[in-house]
Amino acid sequence: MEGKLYQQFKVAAEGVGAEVYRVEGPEQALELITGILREWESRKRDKRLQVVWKKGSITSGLATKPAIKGIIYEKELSFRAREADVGIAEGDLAIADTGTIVQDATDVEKRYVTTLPELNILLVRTTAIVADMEEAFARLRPGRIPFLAFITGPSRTADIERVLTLGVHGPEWLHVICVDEGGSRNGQG
Amino acid sequence: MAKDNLKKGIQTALANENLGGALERFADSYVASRAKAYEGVDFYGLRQEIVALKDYAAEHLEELAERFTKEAEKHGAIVYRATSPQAVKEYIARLAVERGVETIVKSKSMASEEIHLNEYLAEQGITVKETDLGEWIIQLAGQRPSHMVMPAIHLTKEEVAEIFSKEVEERLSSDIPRLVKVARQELRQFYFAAEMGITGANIAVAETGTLVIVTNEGNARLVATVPPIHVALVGLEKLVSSMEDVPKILKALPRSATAQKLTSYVTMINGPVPTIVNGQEQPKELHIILMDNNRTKMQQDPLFKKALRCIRCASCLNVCPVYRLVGGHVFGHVYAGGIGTILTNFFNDFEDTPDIQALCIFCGRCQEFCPADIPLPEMILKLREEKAENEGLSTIEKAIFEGVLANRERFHGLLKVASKAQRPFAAKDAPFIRHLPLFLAGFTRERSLPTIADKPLRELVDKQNISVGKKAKRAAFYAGCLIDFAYPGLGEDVIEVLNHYGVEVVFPKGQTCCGAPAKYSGAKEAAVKMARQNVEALDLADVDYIVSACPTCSVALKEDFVKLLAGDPRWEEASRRVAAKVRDFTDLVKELAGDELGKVPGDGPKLTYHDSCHYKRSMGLSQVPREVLTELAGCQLVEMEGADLCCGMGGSYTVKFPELSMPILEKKLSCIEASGAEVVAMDCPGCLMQIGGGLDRKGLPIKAKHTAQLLAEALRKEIE
Repeated sequence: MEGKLYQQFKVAAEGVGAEVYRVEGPEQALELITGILREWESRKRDKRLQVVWKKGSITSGLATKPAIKGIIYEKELSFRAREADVGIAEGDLAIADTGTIVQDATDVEKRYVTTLPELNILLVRTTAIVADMEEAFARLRPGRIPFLAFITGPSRTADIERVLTLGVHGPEWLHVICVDEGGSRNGQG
Repeated sequence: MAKDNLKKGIQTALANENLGGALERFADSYVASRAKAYEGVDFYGLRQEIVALKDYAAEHLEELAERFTKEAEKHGAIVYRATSPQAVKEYIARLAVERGVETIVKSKSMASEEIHLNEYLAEQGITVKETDLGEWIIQLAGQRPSHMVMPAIHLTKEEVAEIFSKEVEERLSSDIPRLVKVARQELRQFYFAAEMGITGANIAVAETGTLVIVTNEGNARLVATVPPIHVALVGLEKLVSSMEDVPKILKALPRSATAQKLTSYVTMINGPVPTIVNGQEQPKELHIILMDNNRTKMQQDPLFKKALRCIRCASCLNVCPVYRLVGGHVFGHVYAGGIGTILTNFFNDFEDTPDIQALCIFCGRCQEFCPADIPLPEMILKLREEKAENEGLSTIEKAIFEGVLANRERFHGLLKVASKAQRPFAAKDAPFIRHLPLFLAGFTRERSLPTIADKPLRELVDKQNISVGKKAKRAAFYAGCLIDFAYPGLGEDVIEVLNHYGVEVVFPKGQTCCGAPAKYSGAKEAAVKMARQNVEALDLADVDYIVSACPTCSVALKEDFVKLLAGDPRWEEASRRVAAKVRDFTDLVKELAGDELGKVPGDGPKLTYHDSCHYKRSMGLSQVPREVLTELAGCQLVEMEGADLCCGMGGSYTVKFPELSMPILEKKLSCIEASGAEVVAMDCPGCLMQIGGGLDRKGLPIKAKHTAQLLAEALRKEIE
């Protein structure tokens, strides 16, 4: 079931311009993130890469940081996010049908991290993929969470001559990493 | 005055080639990409659910507004109920002044456009920045949005580059990704500079006090996140009862609006959230304004109440054959297209608003695509009737509808005269006649017109044995003006085919025009007279069926007469008896042919089928004629692009707005030509005249034929 939902999620999310990966656990996620950031550094010649990382239950237990030349901030994120190139955060659920990440974004740092940088990396538990929005609603309390975000692909516009263009106000790139196991289970929706 | 404005607007729009090109490309791709987005979704089932939940909300508007207020206040929001646009504007301006707000960032809100909020705030010395890319472009250009979802669809990338270049004082090329980047960089600073953010909302959930905001760009997230004050301006029609309603609207809105399964961002807000002020985290101030602006007035009308179902997807604009030609600005205000015609009428009372209801050609495509099944054509017709009642018909229209059409003998006498004279309708001789329904007018600019036949069908049937042998059934043929006077041969074909399938046909001579030209001009009185004459003639005939081969007539006979004569003790029952017997020719033939279907060799002509508006959308007939043509007439069907696009005839529309009717016809003709068919078939004599005339004028070697003609030809071939 999990595999099928993951496949469906991956197809839907990639269909709207996200890149989707699946890893066994937080350590593998770290490796993947390191690779992505290194690749990003290589594109960026003028100044050091700046990354804001809002840790959540999946990655809070990680002992090491990605080995990159750039700077990774884990504090003062709402301040740092304005200049950052990459924002990393975690989602609470994913919706297979539409390729959506659902995130309780009441925390202002989560909102800054997922909204301001050009590249957004979102981690979500593979087990937290649900079939559709109705199921997501049933799992959460959408009438109680102060700021509930549904993120489906990168920011997009077609306002000039209907030409689809990514990255207008929000991230131009969205990478989703589905993590099968590990991390702390606390606070999972 | 109002009409001149409208005509002027149409001229300007038609002269704008960029606009025409952009809308044309969009309209062509929209239908297919929308259909793809709806794959696996039962659209009609979903829309029934939306109708139910929105109708419930409209019925309980006040109750839901109170509940929403209570729940949102529990979350810590401040809710303000505003009746008038002025109240909204003053509330926001006062709040801004009290909090020392100098700059406001806005994400897209049609409600704010509706009340011209930006202008008002600017007058108070407040800087307002639109952040939605399209809205920002419009704002910089000093224009109004021309589309609800894509406000700047009427501008080219070159024009946008020009506008941006001025703003950033740098010469920009028309490279779209680069222009988008410029907007990103330019606007980013304003989120942080602004002390207030204004958003709209797409849904307001009463039971939980939740706002739902749907965007693609991510600007609403920033507008709702960064500034310390968030004001959400929400029209009352956005209210729904419960959280369960939300996924249903979210299933339809992105699919219908932008052919997406879901937009990039859906944000649900329950009360104020933390924000950062001077580096410190503090709670936001959240104000929610529930705006009425005549929405409750709308709710009190049994018909117009249904416009509160609208979820603002703009699909009615996207599929409208008139909108695709002229764009939104012709509609004179912020809401365009079918729904715009209704909303503008309620939300604005500007006297100089063009008479936009006149633009509707009544093809019904808007309602077919509407995810809330809003009966837009019915509403627009009601506006037209109200206008005719309030302002009276023009002298010319009176002369036509009441002086001529409603008087059968005079009408038919005139037609007789017309058939004798070579060029009887030259403007000098009889100026008013030019404005008669098209078949009487000398309108031959873009297409040839059939001449009025020497002998109308009503005289031919006298001399012809229309009942060959003993027949099992008996039918009265209701020909309608076009078949009777312009295409009597088609009438004979109808009779021949019915005879073949064992039906005796009679022709009640008292029948006259079905009244559609009067109906669609809002001339109700004349329509009532014609309904009586026809009901009288047809009710007397002792028959099993009343057969029509014209969908406009069929709708009149089946539905309009009953409505027009309801409450009239002398005619109500009779109109119902008549309505119950009415059958469409092709539909009846399919039934009569029974087992014969599919037994003919498929060696007939290569044919494409044009879905006539009333035939497909009012009568639900689309598959039936295709089956009859292939399986009974043996034709080889090749579908064209846009088979159900209007041909631009629309009865007297083609006389009132030839500048729109003709480009609509051009589009149809190019679809027909591209199909590679030898014959284009249809079930409406009005379309036959429009399309047949257009093909002839263009010199295309494609024949336009009514299904009855093709059936009769096939029968004759069989007998040979």
